[in-house]
Amino acid sequence: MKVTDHILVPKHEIVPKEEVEEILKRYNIKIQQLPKIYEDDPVIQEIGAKEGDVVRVIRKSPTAGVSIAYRLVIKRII
Amino acid sequence: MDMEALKQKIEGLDIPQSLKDELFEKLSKEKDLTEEMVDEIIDEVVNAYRKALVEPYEAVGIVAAQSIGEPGTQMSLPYEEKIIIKEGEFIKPVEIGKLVDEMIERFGFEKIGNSEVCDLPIDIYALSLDQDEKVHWKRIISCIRHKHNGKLIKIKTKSGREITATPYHSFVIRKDNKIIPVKGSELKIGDRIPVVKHIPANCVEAINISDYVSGNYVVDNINNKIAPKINGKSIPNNIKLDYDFGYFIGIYLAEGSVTKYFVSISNVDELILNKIRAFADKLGLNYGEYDNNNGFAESHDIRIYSSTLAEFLSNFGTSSNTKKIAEFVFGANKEFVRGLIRGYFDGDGNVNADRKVIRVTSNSKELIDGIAILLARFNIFSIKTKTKNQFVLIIPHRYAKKFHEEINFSVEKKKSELERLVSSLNDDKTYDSIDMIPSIGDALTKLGEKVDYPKVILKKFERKQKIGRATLQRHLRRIEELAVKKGVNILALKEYWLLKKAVESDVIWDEIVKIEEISCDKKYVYDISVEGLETFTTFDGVLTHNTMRTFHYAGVAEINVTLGLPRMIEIVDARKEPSTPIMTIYLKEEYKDNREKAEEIAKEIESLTLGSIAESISIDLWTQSIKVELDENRLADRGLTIDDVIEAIKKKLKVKIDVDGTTLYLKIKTPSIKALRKRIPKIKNIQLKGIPGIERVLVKKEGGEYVLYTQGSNLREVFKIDGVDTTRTITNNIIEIQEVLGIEAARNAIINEMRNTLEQQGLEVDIRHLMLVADIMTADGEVKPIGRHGVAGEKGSVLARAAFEETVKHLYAAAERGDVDKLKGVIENVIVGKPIYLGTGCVELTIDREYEEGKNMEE
Repeated sequence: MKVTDHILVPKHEIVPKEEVEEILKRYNIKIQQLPKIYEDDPVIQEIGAKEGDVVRVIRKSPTAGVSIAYRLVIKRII
Repeated sequence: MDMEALKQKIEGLDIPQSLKDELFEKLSKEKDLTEEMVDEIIDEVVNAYRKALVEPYEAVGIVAAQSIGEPGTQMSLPYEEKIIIKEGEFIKPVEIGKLVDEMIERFGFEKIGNSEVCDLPIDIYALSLDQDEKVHWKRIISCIRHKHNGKLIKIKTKSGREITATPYHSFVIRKDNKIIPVKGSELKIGDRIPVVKHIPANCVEAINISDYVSGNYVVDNINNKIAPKINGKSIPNNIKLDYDFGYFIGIYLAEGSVTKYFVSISNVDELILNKIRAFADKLGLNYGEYDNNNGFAESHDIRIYSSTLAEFLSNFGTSSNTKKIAEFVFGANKEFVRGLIRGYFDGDGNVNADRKVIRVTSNSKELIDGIAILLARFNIFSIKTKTKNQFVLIIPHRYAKKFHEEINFSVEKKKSELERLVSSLNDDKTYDSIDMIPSIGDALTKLGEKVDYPKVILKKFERKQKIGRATLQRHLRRIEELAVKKGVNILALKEYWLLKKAVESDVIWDEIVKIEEISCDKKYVYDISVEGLETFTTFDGVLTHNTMRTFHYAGVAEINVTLGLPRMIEIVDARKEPSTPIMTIYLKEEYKDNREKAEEIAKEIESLTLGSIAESISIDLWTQSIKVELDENRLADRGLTIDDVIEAIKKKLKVKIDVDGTTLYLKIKTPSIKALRKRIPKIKNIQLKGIPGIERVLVKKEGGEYVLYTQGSNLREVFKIDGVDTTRTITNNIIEIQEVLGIEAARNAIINEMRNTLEQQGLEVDIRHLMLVADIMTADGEVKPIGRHGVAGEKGSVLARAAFEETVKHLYAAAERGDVDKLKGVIENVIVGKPIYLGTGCVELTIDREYEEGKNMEE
């Protein structure tokens, strides 16, 4: 079973390192101000992202059609 | 640009004055703006303002959760839906909107949530269905109205009845010989809802003509006369509602018309003409007779000269399009009503013995509706249909005998045709596809078994779960005969009375043939609260229900669901476990149409423990062991063998097992009562089959496919079951979704769950509010509650945190730490009384100066 096939799961993709700076600049934020996603998230496991990566989430939006969100991959603190 | 022209332009905009003032001030300071640029800026401001508007009455954000009232307060009918009420002796149809508005006008109302509720201090009764399937007059306790912005649904039945209601309006259906509520939005084509076929009535014996005419008449009480003020013949004022009077009105309804001075009735049948003459003579009125050969056929008119009678009859309508039943008739004594119906059918009715129907046609729907109600006074059910511009009422052959007994015809030709129809009926052969009794459970089977009734017949009806009323009556009669022969006392059996009740029911369980959505063009929707089971009847005869409060689901085979405010609280509190966890399981493409596969998967999923399948588990002192008694049939039902059970036990426990038929003796190394007793709970919880945590599974057909609903949830394990569609299967447990599908799926689940909960209550909340709540709850990578242990507890502002809950604790902690509050948020500024940094309190309107520079460079 692939988690990413489920209707509740939007498309996730890893943002190349060189694009991250551009995104942060566009939003005028620091990287730690991005929403977070844990390294052990089932989708992160499936797409192979690592701590420190930024993941682009392509959502189907009830208001905008498609909307883009970014999440920073973090390690879970036990 | 000229200042005055600019001011005029801005004043014409549809925006608040404060925004106009600020816009003028900004623009008037700028030099070198072209008219084009000014227009562009103005358009942008107006559009931005419009987007920010919230529609009136739209519930907003978390506040919406707090304003959800009792389930059922949003379920209502539109203004023009007519209901049947009784006030004193009089029965009448009234628009529910008119009734409720009048009562609120007279007695005031109390605001409860979204609704305006008026508790009635007077006695008005509604026609209400009880668990005994009889209709009774029950007092109306309160009248209710509330605003409604959404759609309505219109339901049409096989017999031609219609009702319009909000999607969350509830109805009642028959299930396992009980009457239970169901929401309008859950009804589907093929379901059966109750339609009245019998109306009990007190009898109005007489009326005063003066109550039904204008003030142009003089009443002579001594001589019981009423006459026009200026000339004219008098007629009796207090007039008995007898058969002859009813017959005359019926003939008038069929073929009469009125002018200011006379009543005219056309007919060629000598018997009818004689009845009209006799009635006129009885009232002492003059009449003239005329032959009329124009138009389609030869005709004979009788004119009765009396302006009093003419005006009185106008209560029954004055033309073929406006004929109707005057209100007093619905409660009139039975002889009068009998006469009226016979007169009407003598005039306009038709019998066709070959086609086995009695029918009547009219240009007036209101008349047809009224006649249908009057027939229900005699337990005669009728079907409504429509052709081009005419409305048709059909009495099915099933009721022909009853019509013959109770009403009949005077006109010889029609009478003999009716007799031919009745004699052609063979009770054992009639089939009535409308009068079916749904959901009889296993009552007939159980009853039949007591008297050795043929099993084939019983199983057929149990499988179909519907049976014609006449058929059931016939089988019941045979069972009664067999019981006498075999000396069985079936009167003592519950099943007998359940079925007897169904046969003698006052309602027809009418099949829904059409459901459509229509728009609501009035401000309010309406409801009434009735004693007892809270049902009431529309003028079309449809029985409907106004609230879910009085019903309990215990014992009903449905999944229990948390609704309303408690569910909203669960969601925003990010509860680890919902109080009623539920999964909706879809099957893969190749299996979803296959009922057997669905049942198979359901059995595979449903949890089964040794404790639930064993007949008993106890300590056996004699053998110093734990004794497990099994039932081979129950094991077989679940696809298990004794060996399966033994194997499962051995996996869990180190025990020696002696088998004696279907009894197992579990022996342990060092037997003692204490040690044996200690192991019993463990043995009971041994998982034999299925998925832990899932207690029950229902298989339902929905939208052309089979769907499984579970009580209990275990998303990870269900996904491992072969045949389950892992792309669509969901649970209402959001934490499980987070763990199995990830944080983004949990965000979507939060939005969906909140939207569904609000929609169930008929509330509309712009989805942006729900999206914002879900975003905040999931921003940190795991689902966090909104409350003081979660999002609100982490706000940057001490005052905002304190404002939420546990005020003193937050203030003390802040003081200890020497916190600084910069007052940037909304709440803290409200607390200290300053303008908030939002809207015009925050944004500085500016012009993009680079544009100016570019323009200058070109010059």
